[in-house]
Amino acid sequence: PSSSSQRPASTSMARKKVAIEYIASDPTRKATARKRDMGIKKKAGELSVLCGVDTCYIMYREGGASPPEVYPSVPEAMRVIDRFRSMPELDQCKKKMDGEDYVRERIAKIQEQLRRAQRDNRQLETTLLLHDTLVGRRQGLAGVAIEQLVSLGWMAESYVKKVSDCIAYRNMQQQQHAGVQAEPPHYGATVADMEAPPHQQL
Amino acid sequence: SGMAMATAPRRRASMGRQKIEIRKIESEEARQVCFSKRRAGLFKKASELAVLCGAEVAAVVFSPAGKAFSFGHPSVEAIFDRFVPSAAQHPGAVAAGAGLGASGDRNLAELNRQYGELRTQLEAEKARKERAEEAMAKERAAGNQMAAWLDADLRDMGEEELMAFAAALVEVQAAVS
Repeated sequence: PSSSSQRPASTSMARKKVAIEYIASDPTRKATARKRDMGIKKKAGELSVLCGVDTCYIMYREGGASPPEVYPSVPEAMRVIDRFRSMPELDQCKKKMDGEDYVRERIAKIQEQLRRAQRDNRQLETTLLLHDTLVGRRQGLAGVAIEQLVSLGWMAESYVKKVSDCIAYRNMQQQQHAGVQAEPPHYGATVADMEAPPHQQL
Repeated sequence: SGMAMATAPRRRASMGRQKIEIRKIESEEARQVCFSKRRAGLFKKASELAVLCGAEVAAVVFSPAGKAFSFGHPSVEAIFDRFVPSAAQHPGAVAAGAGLGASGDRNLAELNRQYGELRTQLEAEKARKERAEEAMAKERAAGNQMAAWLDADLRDMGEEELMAFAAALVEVQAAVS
């Protein structure tokens, strides 16, 4: 989460991540609509000026009874819509987006998050199971699901490998340490070897 | 002139948020880049507003080159036609727009429902994770030998410890088989 200490006093939006779902609470929803509408108009204006382009934005509130929010202004919006409509239909459609595209994107993103969370959880639970087994709380692993047993086996195996690698490495180090006085076997001694033991040249 | 707000996030690949003046960008290339990004952002925000607040939103934006980009939730036609009826020009399109609107709504509702479901699942997974992490933390706090071994950097462990650890693990492997 980013922190911001230079927030203009007029906005009161907190930097909290909001899931894009219909807001159940009436007052919250209405307040959000008001704020976000303001924000969108501001962004539309910035886009318009920065890039020197026509923009227009229309928002009908829920219920649709009240007149819509319009940006930049009713006559301007009508002009832009007119410009849009005067284009051949093909050109109108080319870069058309609708709510579906965005929802699909959000769905894809959250599916990925879900997948990752599930994977992390499986890992965590296997570790716990391993711990409990090592401590002797799981009598003969009764009633444990097959997938969990499999994961458990893999995790145990991976730990065993790590430990034996560590032991082997230690042994090797000890041997090397002991072998500083003696040289590792040389096959085919040459005159150069006789001059100075290689380890002193290091 | 208005100043775009500036925050200072870290670790961004691009230059991050910078304070800019709101006036036409001189460089054509920079203008195009700015357009692409801001247009995308604008449409995204519009789509979020639509879902969050049950609003019907439409926006159209012309690129510096004159291409039309439009967004509508549920559909561009439905909203523009409501705002400025165009029955005279495209009577077929109006009907199509309205029809599309109805079935479009249904698809949209279905997709949003799917999103909601996934989000609930994600929350559940997060709760699961928290419980598992709590359990682990408990074991560590209890000064549990095994917990310490599982966590430890093997280099810190003595030879006998390693052997004992390996033996216990092998037992587990046997139990699994």
